[in-house]
Amino acid sequence: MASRSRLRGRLVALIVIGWSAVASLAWAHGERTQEPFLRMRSILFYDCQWSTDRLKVNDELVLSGRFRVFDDWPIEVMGRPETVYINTGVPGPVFVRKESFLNGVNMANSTSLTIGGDYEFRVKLRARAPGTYHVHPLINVYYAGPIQGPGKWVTIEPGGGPFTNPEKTLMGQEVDLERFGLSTVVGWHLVWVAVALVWLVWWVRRPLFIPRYILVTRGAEDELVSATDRKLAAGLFVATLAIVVIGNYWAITKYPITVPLQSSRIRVKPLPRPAQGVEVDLVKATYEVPGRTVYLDLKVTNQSAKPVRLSELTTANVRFLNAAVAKDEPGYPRDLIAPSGLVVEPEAAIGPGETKLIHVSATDPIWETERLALLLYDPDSRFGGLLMFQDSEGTRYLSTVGGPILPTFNLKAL
Amino acid sequence: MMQRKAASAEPAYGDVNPGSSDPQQLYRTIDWLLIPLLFMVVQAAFHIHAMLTVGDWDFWTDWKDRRWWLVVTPVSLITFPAAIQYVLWEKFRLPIGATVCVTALLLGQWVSRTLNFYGWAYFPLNFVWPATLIPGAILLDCVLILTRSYLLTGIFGGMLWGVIFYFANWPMLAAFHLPMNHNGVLLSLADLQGFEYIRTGTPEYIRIIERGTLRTFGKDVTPVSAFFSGFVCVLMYFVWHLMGRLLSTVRFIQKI
Repeated sequence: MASRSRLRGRLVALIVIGWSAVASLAWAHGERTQEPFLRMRSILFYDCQWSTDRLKVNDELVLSGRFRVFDDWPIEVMGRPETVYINTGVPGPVFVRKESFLNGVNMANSTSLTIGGDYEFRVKLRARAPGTYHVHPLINVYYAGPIQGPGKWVTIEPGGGPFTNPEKTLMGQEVDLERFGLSTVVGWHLVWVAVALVWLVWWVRRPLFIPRYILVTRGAEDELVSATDRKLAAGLFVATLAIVVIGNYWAITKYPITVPLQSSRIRVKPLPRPAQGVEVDLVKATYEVPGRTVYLDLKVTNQSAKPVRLSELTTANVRFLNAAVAKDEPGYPRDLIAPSGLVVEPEAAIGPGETKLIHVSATDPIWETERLALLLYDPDSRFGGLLMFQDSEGTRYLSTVGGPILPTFNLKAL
Repeated sequence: MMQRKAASAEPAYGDVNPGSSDPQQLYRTIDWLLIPLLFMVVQAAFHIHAMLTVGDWDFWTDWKDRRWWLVVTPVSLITFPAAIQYVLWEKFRLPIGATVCVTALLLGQWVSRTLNFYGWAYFPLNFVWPATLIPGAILLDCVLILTRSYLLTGIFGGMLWGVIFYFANWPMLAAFHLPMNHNGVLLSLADLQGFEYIRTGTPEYIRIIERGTLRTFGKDVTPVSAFFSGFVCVLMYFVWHLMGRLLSTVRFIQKI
């Protein structure tokens, strides 16, 4: 019997150890679990850059880039982006955010976005806690939730001394935001806990539950509260009020100028658009499930003064580059880029004023790994993306593309 | 003979079971077993209640405003003190119900803020400290023992509980309302904490602060909100007093 029990114990231990060995850590922020249509048709990030991917505690990292608010924003699901906060996707305050700008405007508070508008963000972070973290730009949208930009692994190494966060008040007082005011908070809590303990210990020091209950049930409850008890209560009542008054007097004297919490909304205009660009109409879009390829038939009108070629398709932070036109960017997260994943037919440039039908294929397992193929299971199976055209001088023209997309299963290939 | 003598004599505190050789020792043993147990039960239940109903208002300094925090917190947290106060006073003549509740809550909150918010999620403690309710609780208990009336305790104690909350916490909060120049934008230190210490799931716009229609009072809105809070606390006190009354019955056990 004992040996069977031991065996059972060992078996349980083995299962626990085995489970622990194969269980993987939770990484990143679950950005792949967001519905694809939401990621593809809301905020389209581009030109995202991380100034470094390795730094020490107290060092700075600048996260910058742009985004286009998709023209065909799914209003019916997410409402309009009228209340938005420019945030940073990191696992808690492992960085502190020292600055955040949107089109040059301070983003300490929330703002609203214009559908179809382009915005440029720049966030300055200071490393606080050592570790390796997935760092994203992040836009919180009321009714839609957090919309993550591309994430890159950034390592914070120890060193550079203990983290400090110096700030200066308007009156010129220098404070360390890491610990400023904490001793005052703890001190006042201790004062009040001491008062509470006086009151509690006064009562707890005598027999409590059973003898008191018996006396109360016998109708002798008046014996349980003495005149001394009442005197102490009266004294404590007065002392409590006095401490509150003295505390307020102390606070008003020490901090004569204070301001309420600030809750304003900041208005930001979108970036100006170039007058002439490239206009794109979607003719047809299909997704070949086994081939992990999106095919787009597009009618493209070049309204610029020079011939242009399609260089990139960006959607849901995933970039498909046309290797014939665009160069790979080694600094971009490798799990989000297909350096030669975009093929355009015909390859020839689209001349100024010309309207041309082109066939585009974007191929990469990234459709699966980023769980964008799950678009087929969305309640709104429409895709969206950003096309980048480029002329011979490197001038870039952005156009959004979007619409219904049909899956093809190519059953013969299966 | 002994029993008859004991029954005829006036009951004396601590001498209620003459059949026992040393009842005091037994009672104290039971007390010391029950006190930590009940303290932790109250702490757990009240802490969950506080997190669910007050939540962010108590978690972060940049939620502790002049209009909502000082209303939501006392109104939500007079609940357990009112109920427990009834039980301890009615059944044991102990005027410590409110103080026990808020002391237990405060201990639980500090454990949570230290281990979870600071140790686990890296937030500095000066951003996530809990408010104190002890002054209101002391006043509530003192009013009860001095008046020996639930009605007067509800009216005066409840009002004091709500009114005093903001002013009792202001000495701790004032430093976080110092003004800052953040790249040309005026912020309080608490706002700056909220901006700098990143919360991905708590964007700035989700704060329910400084909203409302008390605009004609300008910067002197705090006393108005505090008195409103006190008024609602009076009502809330009686609701939860009844809750304590309902739940401290042995009616159901007798039926079994």
